[in-house]
Amino acid sequence: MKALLTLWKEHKVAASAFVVALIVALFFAVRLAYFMVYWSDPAHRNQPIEDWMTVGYVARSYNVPRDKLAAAIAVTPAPGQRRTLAEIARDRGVDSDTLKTELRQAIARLQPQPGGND
Amino acid sequence: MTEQMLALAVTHGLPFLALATGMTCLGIPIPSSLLMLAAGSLAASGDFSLPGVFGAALFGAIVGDQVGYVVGRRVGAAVLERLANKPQARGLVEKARAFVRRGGGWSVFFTRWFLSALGPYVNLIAGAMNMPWLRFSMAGVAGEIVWVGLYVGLGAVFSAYILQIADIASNASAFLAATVVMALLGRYLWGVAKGYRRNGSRPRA
Repeated sequence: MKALLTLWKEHKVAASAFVVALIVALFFAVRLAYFMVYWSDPAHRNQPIEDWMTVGYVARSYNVPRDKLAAAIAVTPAPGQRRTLAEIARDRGVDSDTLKTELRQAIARLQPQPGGND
Repeated sequence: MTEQMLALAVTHGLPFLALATGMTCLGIPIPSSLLMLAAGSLAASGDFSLPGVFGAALFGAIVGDQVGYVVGRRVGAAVLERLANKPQARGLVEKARAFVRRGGGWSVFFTRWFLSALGPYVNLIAGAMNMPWLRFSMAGVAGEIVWVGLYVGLGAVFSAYILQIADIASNASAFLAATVVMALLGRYLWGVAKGYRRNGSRPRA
């Protein structure tokens, strides 16, 4: 105990850095455990369609043919031209929620068995 | 914030990705691992070329590492010299220098990917300690190939799960980095404490 006090007095920087590292490690250990538990629940595993995604990305994530999905929302995929869903919605003059609903309906139609993609 | 980053990556493409990995290697908190995962899966879905994504992310990371090393060499070396002139710090600085001479290359390699949270600081230290540039660069490039390959590859294969992978990988990597720092400090303090016991209650300062 006495040695510990001397250590603290004479190596304040190293000792405080040790305590900080310990707290940081515990913090991330808890977060890591939380995310592992959260993501291990199948209900949380379905990635929602988001504004930043491209049609190709959505098609791949939901395992449906890219061209058919693009056609379903009246987009002609041009090579080398990436557009996010937000941009597509803006160009078509609809809000992005409408576009996402259209995509979800198209996916439901195109997927071989509904709910097959977990 | 994350969503905006992802949107920027889609719109501005590879130059943005290179900028992001470069900034991350300088210690600026940008979710590069998520961006690489996303770029990998966008490549797999046909929006990018996979070699392009890999090359851009790698290029940014290598440039970022080099900038950190040069800053360490220019600024850090002078600070270290002043520190080494203080009698209390001289031993520690010498020990650190010896460590860099012995295991510097491996430290650089493993802090690129396995303990990537420590990477930016290791760059500064490597520069400040005058680690040979060629050894730093070779270990650095090898490590960055693993880092970029890992995330871009995971993104390309597990498209639908990039958010999950990013959450788990970023927390695991921060946890590992903190644990290693804690272990190194613990070992140092343990050594000091053992010295106390050997020499009675109060030895050298």
